[in-house]
Amino acid sequence: MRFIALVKNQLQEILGGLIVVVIVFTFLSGFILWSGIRHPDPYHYSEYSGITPGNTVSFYTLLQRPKPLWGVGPVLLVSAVILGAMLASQQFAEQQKRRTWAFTIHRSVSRSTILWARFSAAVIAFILCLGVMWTMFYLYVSAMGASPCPLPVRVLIEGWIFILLGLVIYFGAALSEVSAKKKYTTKYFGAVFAGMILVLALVQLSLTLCFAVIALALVILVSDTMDTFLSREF
Amino acid sequence: MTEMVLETDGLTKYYGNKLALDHLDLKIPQGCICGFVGRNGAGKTTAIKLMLGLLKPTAGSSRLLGCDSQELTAESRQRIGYVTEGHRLFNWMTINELEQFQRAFFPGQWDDQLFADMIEYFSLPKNKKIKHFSNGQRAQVSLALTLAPNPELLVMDDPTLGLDAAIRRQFLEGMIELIMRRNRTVFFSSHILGDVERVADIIVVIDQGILRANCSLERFRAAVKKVIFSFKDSAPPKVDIDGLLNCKRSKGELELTLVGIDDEKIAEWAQSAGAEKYRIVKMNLEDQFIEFTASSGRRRLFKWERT
Repeated sequence: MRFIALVKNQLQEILGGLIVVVIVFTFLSGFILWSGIRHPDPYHYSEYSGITPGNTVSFYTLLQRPKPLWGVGPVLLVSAVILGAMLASQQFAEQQKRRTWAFTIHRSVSRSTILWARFSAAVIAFILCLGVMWTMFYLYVSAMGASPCPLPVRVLIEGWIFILLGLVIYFGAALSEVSAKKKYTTKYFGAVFAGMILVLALVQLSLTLCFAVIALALVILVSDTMDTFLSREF
Repeated sequence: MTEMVLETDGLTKYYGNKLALDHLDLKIPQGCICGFVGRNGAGKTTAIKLMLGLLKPTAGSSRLLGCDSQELTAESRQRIGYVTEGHRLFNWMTINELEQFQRAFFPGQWDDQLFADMIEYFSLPKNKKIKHFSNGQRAQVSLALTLAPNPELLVMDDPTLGLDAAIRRQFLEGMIELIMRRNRTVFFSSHILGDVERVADIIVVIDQGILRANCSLERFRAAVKKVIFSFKDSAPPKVDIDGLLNCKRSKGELELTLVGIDDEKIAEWAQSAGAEKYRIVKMNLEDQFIEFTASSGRRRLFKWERT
């Protein structure tokens, strides 16, 4: 009951930001998909494999870069990163700025419950804002048969990896905001670490390695944020 | 034996090298209204945050309703109301939303009727966002939210700061109403001595992090006094009297502010100093507080025990 009240409170608080992210993401992605479907470009594979209409199509390349859905990928990644940073800012920096921590903390729940409620709200926000949208785009493009070949599930998974990377950025920024360290010391360790993980995950060749890097980063960031929050003075 | 709802034992807090609170020893019994007074930066907010476990003490400990402040459980916090300094609430919420949110944390304890009565008493719009409220209205919302769960102990950090006289009075009346109805304990800090004088029965004075007085309001009022001695010629160059806080000289007169000294001793000193006559001037609490805290330096001059 109390946990649900806290999650609901958090979702209400971040609702405005979520709506903006959903609108921008849907608009940009929709535009990319629409233009990709309406104006198919037979030459756009050439930049990857030298494919021209008369050449043999490299199946692997198509798997890696199936248009038009793949065009949404960069938008998804940027949206996830922005959403992560925005959520951390709304959930932690705003509280600090408005000095409402004392009001938040002094209530009949433990500090860890308060923090888990925030994390849960963030995860729900990522799923609702980006996860559902991405999956819907995938299903739509698959159903339409707009892709030159059947869309592999890998494309869907890669999109979800981008969303997970947004979560990594969220936890990194949250750790920085929760940290009571001075700005010129290790306050921004969390954000820098999350940025490094983002780069490290993107250069992985296999999805398994990518998941491993993200999972490790999430464990480190969540446990550190929890530890910092529980021992912090407000 | 009276149950103590708030106890601190050598509570000390340093921020880096800066001493904010120095060995605070307090015992506040159940059912009283305690005014916690001190100048800006005296350590009031620090002390309150330490008591509520929001800060960690450098040394010492404190207990609220029998629980260590650093280990206050969810159940203990449910019994303690806290009005934060500046009435920091969620700006994006309306009163209705805040009520719904707060109620979830006090199952079976939240008094809907009391909350509705207070909102009506203060004439607050229930569907307006908090960010559009004035400071006074925020204070009223804050008080209503804190009182609705019927807390056994109400801790308030400068609740009337920035409020005009009429709203301050409404606020204090609301607080007194609670105490009279339910025999609860209130511990509140304030800069406004008039408020303390109006409602408190115990006064705790803190200055530069040091406890200077902890006694009944009547005792404090009786203890700090100003005496004007008149001399035929000039006043004696050296004043040697117990409990001297301040000394001002003018031609043929000596104005002393004294603490904890009875009238007999004043008469004795007047005689020994060769005063022609003397009179005790009535002081209000604000004057007493200013004189009492202006004199200290960093010494603990008097330690008053609660009576």
